[in-house]
Amino acid sequence: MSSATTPIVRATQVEQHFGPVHALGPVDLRIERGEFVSIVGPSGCGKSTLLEIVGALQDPASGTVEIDGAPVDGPRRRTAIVFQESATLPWRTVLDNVAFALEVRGIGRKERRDKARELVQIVGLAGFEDHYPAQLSGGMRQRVAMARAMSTEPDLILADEPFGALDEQTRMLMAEELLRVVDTIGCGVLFITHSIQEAVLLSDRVLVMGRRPGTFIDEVPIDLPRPRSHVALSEQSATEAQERIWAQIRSEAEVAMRSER
Amino acid sequence: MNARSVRESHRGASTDRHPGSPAWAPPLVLAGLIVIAWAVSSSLADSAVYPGPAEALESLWSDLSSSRFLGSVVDTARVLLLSYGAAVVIGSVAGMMLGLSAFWSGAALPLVYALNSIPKIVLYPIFLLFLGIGDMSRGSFAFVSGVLPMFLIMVEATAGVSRLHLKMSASLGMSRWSLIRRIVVPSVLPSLAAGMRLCFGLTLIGLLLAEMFSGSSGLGYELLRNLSLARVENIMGQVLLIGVLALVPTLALQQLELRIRRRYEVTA
Repeated sequence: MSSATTPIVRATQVEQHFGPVHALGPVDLRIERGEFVSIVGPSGCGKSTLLEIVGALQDPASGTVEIDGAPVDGPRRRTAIVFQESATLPWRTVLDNVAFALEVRGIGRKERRDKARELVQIVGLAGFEDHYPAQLSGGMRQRVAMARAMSTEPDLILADEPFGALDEQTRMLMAEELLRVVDTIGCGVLFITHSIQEAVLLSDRVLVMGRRPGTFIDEVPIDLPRPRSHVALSEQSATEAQERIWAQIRSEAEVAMRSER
Repeated sequence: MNARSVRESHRGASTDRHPGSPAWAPPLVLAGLIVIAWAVSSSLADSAVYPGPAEALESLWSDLSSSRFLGSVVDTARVLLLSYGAAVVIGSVAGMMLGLSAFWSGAALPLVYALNSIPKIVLYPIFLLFLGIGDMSRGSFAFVSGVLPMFLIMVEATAGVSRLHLKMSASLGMSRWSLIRRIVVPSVLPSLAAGMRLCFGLTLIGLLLAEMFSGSSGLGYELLRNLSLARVENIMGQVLLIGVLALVPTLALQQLELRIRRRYEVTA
């Protein structure tokens, strides 16, 4: 079944309806192993819906999703989802937040805490193991969520606007941090964002989703050498990609605004 | 940003909460001033129906040496403890169970709110009718006074568990029991503490009311008895006693609530 050439995600003709609302699709999505794919699009276009379908948090109205060659029928052990920053548990210390996924999977206390300590180091939170989320900044909380996602050794990370609540500078730092982490563990990533800049900086490929019902209206390969940092954004191919994506989104957003009036 | 700078800025934030003088000092000083005002005004009034603090304490002291009165205090404390404990346990467990089901909370909540908006004392004759005069009727009445708000607070708290946390749990494939233990219970703890504080006051009111109407012992009964004997200084003394009896648990519960909130709640 799974081999080096099997894509990590293959979604075919996926559609979603919420009552009378046609929210998504039909869309096809293919992510190769270790590939970083972002989806950008206007608010309410169905980006998050698609991510939740791939993550088995919702069932599609029609269409199929295969991960690593196997049809999705429930939460998958090696898929990790990173939500917005407030998904850290405020009653747990940093260390226990990072160890949470392992705890749920029945890993023993000593083993999961050792592993969590290691991950806390990797995301740069050493010294904060015993702090509570309320004592951390938004960016630090998001590092906790990233460490938790890494704890289960995922081959696929689904990130739903993980930096959406952060300020611009922290966002950029966190994006670089994520790149470093993903390069380390070599997993595939589906990344949802509002920020075109962020998408271009991070991705191998950016998919542009049109207004509801969301379908992909463009696919932009990002041809920048890795490892990348924010400096890469000023290269010509990066600025061209940003302009191309912005032009698409702008026309979609304008139509959406007119039709809502 | 390094670990030390954040730890220091956090320490800075926590010293803001505890300024120079301890938090309990100003209310204590104010209470002292009120007692002085009471003493001065009563000695100026020099009236038989307006005793000062000294007379009130004196009569309370002599009351406390009577075994009948002491029995009343113990009775009230015993019934209060039982009905309060039952109200907290049953109210919070039932509230959490209902809160976990969107369907059942939608069906039952309007009814419970309607029931809760009836002044409880209206229901008291029914308790008397079915349970007779005694511990059962006043205990049950106190229980009902406390359990409804406790229940409502817990339903709302459970229904309000962060959707993001629920999604995160779903993505990890957590079992229902694991979800309740690891997400729901910790999420509702601050509300549980607030509910416990509120529930205590309401249970106590319910109990004293019930004792006033139909008791043969208990602090509520003693209050009315002193009223019919026109012993104002004894009434004042009892009010002080009840105040102290109510204040100590309330302050303890308030502390508990504050601690949980400080630790658990993300303020940013």
